[in-house]
Amino acid sequence: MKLDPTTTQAEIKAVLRNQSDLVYGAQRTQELASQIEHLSTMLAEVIRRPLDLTGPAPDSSGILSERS
Amino acid sequence: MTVPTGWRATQIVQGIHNSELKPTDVADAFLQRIAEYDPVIQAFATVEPDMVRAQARWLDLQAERGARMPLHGVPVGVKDIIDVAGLPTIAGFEPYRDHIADRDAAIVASLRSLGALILGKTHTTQFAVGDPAPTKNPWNLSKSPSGSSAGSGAAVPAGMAAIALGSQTAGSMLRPAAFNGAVGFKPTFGWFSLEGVIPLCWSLDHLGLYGATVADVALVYDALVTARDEPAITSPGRPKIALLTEFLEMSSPDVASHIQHVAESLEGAGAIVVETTMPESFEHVFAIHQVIFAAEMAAAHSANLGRYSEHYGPRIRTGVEAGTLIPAGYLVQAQRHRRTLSGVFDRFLRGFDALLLPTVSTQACDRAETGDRRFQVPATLLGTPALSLPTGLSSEGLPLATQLIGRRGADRELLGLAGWVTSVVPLIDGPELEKLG
Repeated sequence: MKLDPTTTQAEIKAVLRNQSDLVYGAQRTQELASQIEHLSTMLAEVIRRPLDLTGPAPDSSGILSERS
Repeated sequence: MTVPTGWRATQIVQGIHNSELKPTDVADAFLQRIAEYDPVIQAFATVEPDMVRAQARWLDLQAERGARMPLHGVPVGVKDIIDVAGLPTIAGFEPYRDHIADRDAAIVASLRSLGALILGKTHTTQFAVGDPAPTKNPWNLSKSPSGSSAGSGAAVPAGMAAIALGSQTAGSMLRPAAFNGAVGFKPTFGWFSLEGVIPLCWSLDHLGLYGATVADVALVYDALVTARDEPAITSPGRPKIALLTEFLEMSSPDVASHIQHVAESLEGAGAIVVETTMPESFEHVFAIHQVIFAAEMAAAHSANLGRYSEHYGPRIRTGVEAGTLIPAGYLVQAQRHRRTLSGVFDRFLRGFDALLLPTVSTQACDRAETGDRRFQVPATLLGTPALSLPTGLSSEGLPLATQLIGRRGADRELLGLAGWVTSVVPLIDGPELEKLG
């Protein structure tokens, strides 16, 4: 899947549906339709914002450990 | 001595320390309350009365020998994803019905060492996700107790436990607190050990406390984190509070007007209330949470789902399957955005003593659902401490709740502020179970 801020929710949804077809089959993909809709909207929001590439390296939590 | 219904943790500890009360009295009173009302409320998944009485006799002995433990005799319900030695950790999942824990989770062991009386395991939605638990709302049996910590959230207002442990990965501590009318407290991420707890999402899972009052929750928090370098719990002088107006716009009229009333009351009592919005859009915060949640849940559950697919509830199953579809690069982007947000919110929170918003957008919903998780997500994603206070009743007689969010690591300050808030806006009384029918 493309990974840039111009990627649209429709494009993401199409890729997720294709992937779901491959993994879970067409019938289960239909059953997952509302979840795929929700997830593609969330992914589009995440990808829409450019990253700050100068910050610390990614970790598993994203939370700073020191006291604020 | 007889223990009156609705006795608080602070009253129980004081009674035992003053030798006016014995832990076995407490055990008998709460076991009787459970026997009387839990067949209707179904807050508890497992209670073994003989184990409870054996603990209580040992606590009696300690008291007779002069020991005064910080949580001496406080009866605690434990969410059924948290191990209690000798009891099954079922997690709402039938294949685990015979999974007997051979040791306590770290937080349960700590509570025992402080003198707490472990009552049993409380119902959870399956694996702390969205398929409703059997528990009923003690205010109205046709309404949802929410989830995932349904049993813990209901047990305290119903007088069946003085304190209960829950967990939150999206909104599972605070939302049940709001729907059932309990005080719910989710501390800073990582404050309470997750050792011995079934994971859902490693970077989002928090444990938390339910109590009937802020003082009860603060008593237990203080006992559990004595070694931590935090200021003592004190009342603030003239607190500065940010009222987050975007959440009022997303709320039902009952909820929005109640929170406005709370804000005005606090202002009238001397607080500086600033109407503002979060430093980042709610949609962005929510999206980051949802992507991380779905991906981590898929990682935690995919293998088990493959083995036991017929036992998984429909909501967790669809969530796990959809989560497996998330591309790795998107997850990394979400984690990077989360880190940026964490810094932005830390700077924002330095300008206030707390953020004020509704805990949930509505009163308790119908039992087929567990309610709207959106308003609890920011504190979960950012790992900040958050409290839910039952500060009002809706026109239908259901609890309405105020949420306070504090600075990461400043949990005691938030508890101190919450104590002051409840001196201005009193907490509602508990439900009258006798009228449930």
